[in-house]
Amino acid sequence: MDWALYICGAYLLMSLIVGVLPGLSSKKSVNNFVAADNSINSVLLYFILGAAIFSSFTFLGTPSWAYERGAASFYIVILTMIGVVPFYFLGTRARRVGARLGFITQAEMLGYRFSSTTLSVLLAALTVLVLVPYMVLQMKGAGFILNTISNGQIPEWVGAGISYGIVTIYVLVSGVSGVGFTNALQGGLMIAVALFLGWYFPHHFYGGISEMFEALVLSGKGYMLTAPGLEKGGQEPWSWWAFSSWCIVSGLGMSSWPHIFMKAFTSGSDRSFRKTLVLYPTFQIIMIPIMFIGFAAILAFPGVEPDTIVPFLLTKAGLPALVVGLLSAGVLAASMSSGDTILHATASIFVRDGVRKLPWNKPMNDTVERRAILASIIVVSGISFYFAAVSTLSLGAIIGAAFGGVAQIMPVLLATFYWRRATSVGVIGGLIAGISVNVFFWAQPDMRPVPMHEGMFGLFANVAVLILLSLVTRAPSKAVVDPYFAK
Amino acid sequence: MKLHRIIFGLLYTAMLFSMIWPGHAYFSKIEPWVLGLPFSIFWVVLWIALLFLGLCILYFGDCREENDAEAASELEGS
Repeated sequence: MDWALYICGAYLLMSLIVGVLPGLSSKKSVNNFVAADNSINSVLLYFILGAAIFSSFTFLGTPSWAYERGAASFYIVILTMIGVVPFYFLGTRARRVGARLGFITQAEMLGYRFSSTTLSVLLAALTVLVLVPYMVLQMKGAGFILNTISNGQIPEWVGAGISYGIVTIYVLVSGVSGVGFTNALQGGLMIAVALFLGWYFPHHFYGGISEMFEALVLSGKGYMLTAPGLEKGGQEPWSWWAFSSWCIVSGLGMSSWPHIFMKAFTSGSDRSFRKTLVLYPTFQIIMIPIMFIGFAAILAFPGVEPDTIVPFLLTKAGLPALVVGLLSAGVLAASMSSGDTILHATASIFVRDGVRKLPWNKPMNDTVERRAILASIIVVSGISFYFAAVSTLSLGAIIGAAFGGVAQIMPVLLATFYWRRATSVGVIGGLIAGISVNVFFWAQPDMRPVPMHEGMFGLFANVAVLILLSLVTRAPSKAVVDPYFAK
Repeated sequence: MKLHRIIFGLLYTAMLFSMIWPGHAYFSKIEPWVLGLPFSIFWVVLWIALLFLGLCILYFGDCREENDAEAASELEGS
């Protein structure tokens, strides 16, 4: 067990070094801190995007979905397949207009397009509201893993404190460059760990991958291997309504997440940005072996509480320390590589699109703004740490619901780049309608006419209100809109 | 609309409906086994590969279009 801790320790130390180094020589400006002076190359961006989406949920949640709900876990892969494509088109356009007008966040870009401070502040508030719980979830994942492999000797809050102390330091010192270089390390580690474990578990318990699936079919569990898999609880089959709408809503949500979307601005050219997304499926394929971990446990360890299947494998399955260490380091890397992006984005957006835009605040110069962002990083990190240490809420459920809310930004993004006639009243009305309907059906699931993800109903309301209100309000001025449509 | 974008659009639409209802419902079954995987899992892997192929077509098409546009504007300039 000690060896597993050493492996995690070595990984944490390397993250710290790799994360701090790029900041020592970089320029101290807001743009450099938030968007690396638009100079991130496609290799680094590949790891930033790949690793940001690969969260602790991917490592802890995917196996537990596969274990409990079988093929329902396909949705976690499919959402990324659906989501990467809108981002190819929207991100390219965003990058161009950002380079022309100096935008480095999504809210800033949308606020200018619709000449609306309200929209910018509204989006900043929404971002902080969904990203802080997301951050708390990542922290809890890291604390949980260190607690598990130390047999409880490292309390969860200490584990979260150590790993996110390191994240906070390298984000403070190096900004987005620190995020990029550590994500390359973490992403590489995750790919290696996923491939190794996806091979190891089926071989260890069944003698091979196809042997594992054959054993599942022979034992009469074959129904778990076909979509749409099973409902939560693992008894009833899941419905196609639910499976399809979860894939779509989460996919649209993925390409709308403010912390992911704003990475389009870090890229130096259309080509380098696009190249990143073309290579993205190589990251998606890694989720398949992670699923195998869960499938391998179905027959080997029946009756385990699904949410705890990975910790169970770590502690009770009698695995060699090397495997335990690798899996733990993989989970830590997944948690931290999403957490650093979220922390960095939340603080940047909070200052740049929230605080700075409030009417009673004086204009900030670059130095003041950069210091404000640094201060916010410490505050956001502290608040998240507080909740991670004390709260016992099931955050996984909150994040699942957050995707429905975040997906509501997609119609705004589409209107920004593809419909000149869209107005500020239209998009703000659409957002409010979409989020309200989304929250309503989330709170009242029995009221849904068909068993779809609540975000889907939100999207219908959102698009209808956006179109209707835009048509009855005055078209935005051509001068403002033109740069968003330029080639 | 350029040809490479139309091809990609068709492929993406095909992927979407192969990954949600109704395409996915039809093809998600155990038999036949491919590469040691039940067909349902192979089906998802196959579409990740096809998406990669489609994105490559899109990317190289976009690059060529840009190069042509640059060459054209250079001609105008001279």
